[in-house]
Parts: sequence; structure tokens; C-alpha cells
Amino acid sequence: MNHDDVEQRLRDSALRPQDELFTRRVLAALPRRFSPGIRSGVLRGFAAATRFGLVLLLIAVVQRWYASGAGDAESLAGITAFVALVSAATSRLCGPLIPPSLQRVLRRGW
Amino acid sequence: MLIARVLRNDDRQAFGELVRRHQPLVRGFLRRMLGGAPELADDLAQETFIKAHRALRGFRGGAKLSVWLCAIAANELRAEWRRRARRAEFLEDDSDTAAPDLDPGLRRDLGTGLAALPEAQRAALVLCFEHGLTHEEAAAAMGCPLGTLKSHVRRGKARLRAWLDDDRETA
Repeated sequence: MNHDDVEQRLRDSALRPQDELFTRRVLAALPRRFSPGIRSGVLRGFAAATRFGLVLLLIAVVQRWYASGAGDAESLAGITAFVALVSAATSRLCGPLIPPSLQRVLRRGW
Repeated sequence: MLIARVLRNDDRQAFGELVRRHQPLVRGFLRRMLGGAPELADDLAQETFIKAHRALRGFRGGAKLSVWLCAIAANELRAEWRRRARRAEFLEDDSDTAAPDLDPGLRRDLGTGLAALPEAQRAALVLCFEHGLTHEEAAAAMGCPLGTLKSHVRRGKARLRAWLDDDRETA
């Protein structure tokens, strides 16, 4: 086998994955669009601060709620529903609550 | 022009079209580099496009967008390898960073042969031959001098040819 055969086999076996699902996934993970005219750095900072504030608020509320409800099943269900609702609303307004890079790390246990 | 539309109005449809056009290259490159981890490769590809969207204003029209995207993908890959190395160091286990331990009985196809190459040689072959980048473009994407890239291509091809020749002899 000569070098050209190797090149040809590489060309023939190229991986070129393409699907609409991936495109939609990337678009969904982009930060939320704001009105033009506001500088993007300011917007990113605002969105990040909002997300951070919301995460802190969630932790505080959940902790108090859990403490007052003594951890019964009803209070756990309430907390879960509350967290899911706030996360969904925040994701819609400011992009993913947890950045994709951090999600990846958490998914793999690190 | 799609890039201008994205920059002017943050046109998501135009950016979606860019993702559609360039995902075979970015995802294909990352999948080859990460061997049997297509989910992780797609995670890194997604991160590549998000970073590209954020930094698109800094993209210089002199370079090809595909080369610029490959450079971002290569940086993501290096960061992933650094994370793996740190994790392996923490766990005092080098199984994550070691070269893949190949079963000698395994069918010696091209993918397996590529996976056995050192990372720089694999990246050079994948970019130049699977995705048709010129040597100059591949060197720019990998952030190495042209001479180094050519050396990676030459050595990678020789090793891959030896690998495939071995296969034919054993068949």
C-alpha cells in the first residue's frame, strides 16, 4: 500500500455527522438575544449576575422551606416543583441556568 | 453573507445555517480525536459553536471560517485532555490518558489505526485528508508551525500505512 492509498482511504472513510437535532441543540444553548444597541459584554455580565443571584436565592429558599417542612414527602415535591419552575423561567429569560460547560462536568461527576 | 447577518442583527437563523454547514467538519474532527466517545465529541462541538458565536466579532475575514472553527475545536480538545490528565492525577490512575490499549485480535480498520496514532499525527491526518484542509490551514487550526504539521502528516501516514499493511499480511 502506498501513501496515496492511505490518503484515499482516509478521504473515503471521513466522518461527517450532520443532523438537524444538533443544530437545534446549539441554537437552544446560545445566550438569550437582547435588543440591539446594548453592548453584549454588559448583557452577558447582567445575565450571569442574574443567574448567580437566582441560584443563591433558590438555595436559600429551598433550605428554609426544607427546614420548616421537616423534609416530608409533600414538602419535597413542593421544593422540586418550585426549583423546576424557576429554572425553566430563568433558562427562558437568561439562557441555561447552568452553563453547558459546567453541565458537562456535572454529568460526568466532576 | 451569513456572518454579517449574525453580527448585524444576531440573526439566529443565519447562525443555524453556519452550524448546519460546518458541523460535519467540527463534529467529524472531534469524533475522530475522541475515538469512541461521540456524546463527548458532540458536547465539545456544541461548546465550539457557542464560543464561535460569542467571538464572531473578532473573526478576521482573511481566514476561512472552517479553519477558525477547527482552531476553537482544537482548543476545546486540549482543555478536555488537560481535565482528563488532572482527574487521572487526582485519582492516581493514568488509564484515562494512556494510549488506547488495542486488542491484537481486533479488526485493523482505518478508525482503529487512526486511534492508535499519537494525537498530533491523528489530528493532522484527519484535517488534511478527511476534511481536505491544506497544510497551511491545518497548521493554523492546530496552532503549530507548517514544518511541524508536515512532519506530523508524514509520520502519521507512514505509521498508518504500516498498520494497514500488517492487517493485510495477517488476513
